[in-house]
Amino acid sequence: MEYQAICLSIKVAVLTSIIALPVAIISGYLLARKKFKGKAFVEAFLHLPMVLPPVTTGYLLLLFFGANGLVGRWLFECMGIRIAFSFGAAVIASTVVSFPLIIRSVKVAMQMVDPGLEEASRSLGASPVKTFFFITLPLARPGILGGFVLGFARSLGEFGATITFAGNIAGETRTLPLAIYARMQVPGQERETFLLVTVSIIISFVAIIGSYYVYRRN
Amino acid sequence: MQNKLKINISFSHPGFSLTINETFEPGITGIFGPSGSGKTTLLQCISGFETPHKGFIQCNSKMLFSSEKKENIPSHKRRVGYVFQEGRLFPHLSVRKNLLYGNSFQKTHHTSKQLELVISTLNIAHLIEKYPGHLSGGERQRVALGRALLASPEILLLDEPFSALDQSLRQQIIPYISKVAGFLNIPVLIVSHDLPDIIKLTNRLCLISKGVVVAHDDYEVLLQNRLLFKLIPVNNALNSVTLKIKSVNTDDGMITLNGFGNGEKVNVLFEPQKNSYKTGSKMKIFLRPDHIILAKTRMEGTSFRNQIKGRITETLEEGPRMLCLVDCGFPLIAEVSRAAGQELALKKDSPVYCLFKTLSLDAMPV
Repeated sequence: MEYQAICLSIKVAVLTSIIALPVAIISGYLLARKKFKGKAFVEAFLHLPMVLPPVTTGYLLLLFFGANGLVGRWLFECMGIRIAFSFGAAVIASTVVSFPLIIRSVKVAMQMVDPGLEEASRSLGASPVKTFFFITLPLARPGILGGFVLGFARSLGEFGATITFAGNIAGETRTLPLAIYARMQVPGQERETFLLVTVSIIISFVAIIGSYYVYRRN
Repeated sequence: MQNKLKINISFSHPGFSLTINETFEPGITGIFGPSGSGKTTLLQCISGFETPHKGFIQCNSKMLFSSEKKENIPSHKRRVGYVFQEGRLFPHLSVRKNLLYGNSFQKTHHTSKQLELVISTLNIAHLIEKYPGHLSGGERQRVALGRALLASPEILLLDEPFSALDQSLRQQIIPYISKVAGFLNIPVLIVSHDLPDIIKLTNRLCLISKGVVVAHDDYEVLLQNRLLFKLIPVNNALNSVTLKIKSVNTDDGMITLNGFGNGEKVNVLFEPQKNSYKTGSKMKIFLRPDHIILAKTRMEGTSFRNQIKGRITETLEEGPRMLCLVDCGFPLIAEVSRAAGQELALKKDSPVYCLFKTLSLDAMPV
């Protein structure tokens, strides 16, 4: 049983959700409330990984963060950091692919909050920042939690971008889907493959049930 | 110190402009005008939700906005209480937390005594642990009013506070607003397109039409002005008169009020068990114009307890209706059908008797 792959998958998914959520909350709020030039372009750009084939996203990440990539080369020369084909690359790939789902959910949740309530809060002396934390955020909480779970689940299932950008290195980047894929390539491993598939189903199911429970409590 | 609100602004949007140059004294001023006349925009400029293009807004010595000095205090620092049409209570907070919300951002915190005072004045003690979703329309508006008060405003704005309420709930909330305004020494601006609601709260009116103030004075004074008399919507007027109590008859449940020096008296019914009326104190009476009957002579053998002699000072015909402004020592608007008006030859200077039942009068102590 590939315990390593299971733990790695959960680790990547948790890190992805934790990294993406604050960014998604800020950008979701700006997209829901502010008017600015090029908003449609920014929105399309942020949502792009949702419709792009994951392999394309992985390839673009490789172009960007790879050893000869724009940022990758600079990071390696200046700081000695190599990103591509590392655990970090698995998290980045997973974050980029999950981000549109989280931001979409957060933005809709923010749009659902009546701007009139924010006006009322300001008239009572709360600054825009306090209004955001005391009114907008608590009222958008169910949608934000929904986004978090969606991002977590998407991250658990991430395959294309990860294998392209992070590779399939056992113990470092081989997450559950990659482990399933690796087992499928070897004849006679049907039982192990099926076990991993079952584990994958259970984790996803628990995540969804958990989110439903949290949603109801809110 | 008198908290006067001085406004001299111009605001424009495509197809709409608002020009205001007025001073609002402490106490309630009713901002009245048809829909789209700029009433809410005026409140939004005062609160800082909209920015005028030119001019200034000053409360006391504090400049809230000045285009000349390039000053524009953000809305959360203006200390302008705003009671919105729909209450806008925070649905995720209990009534108590809603009430205390604004107080947490103030430098000086309220004592529990002040909270208790607001709770008892607005009669919301039984709602304190409830959530807004479980409140009725009138309760929501009372909590919204309390919430605005506890943020220690220097100006209080109420934007159509009655429009979401039905008639009986309106009658419930009006006394609360009246009571609250009584102990605040700040300008309170109430916007409404319903004249009777405003009249029940205040005599002081600011009439806005097409983005400009057409008049700003006491209701009785406004009625004397022919131009303004015409601005009053025919089916949306209300008589409001303040008179002195001459005698209180607890057996009949009848109060007699003195007219203004012409010897005429007005009789009002009251509930003896709620007897807090004293001879010599003042009472405000409200009477719908269509509840007044005009007669050329005093009528004998009728059940009308009030027959007041007066002289028509103005007439206004609109469709099948006719409004007559009658000077009875105090101004009364009476509404009759045009046919009846023509038959009685009602015109300026015609002497008439205004007949109305005591039951038609709504009265409250001043």
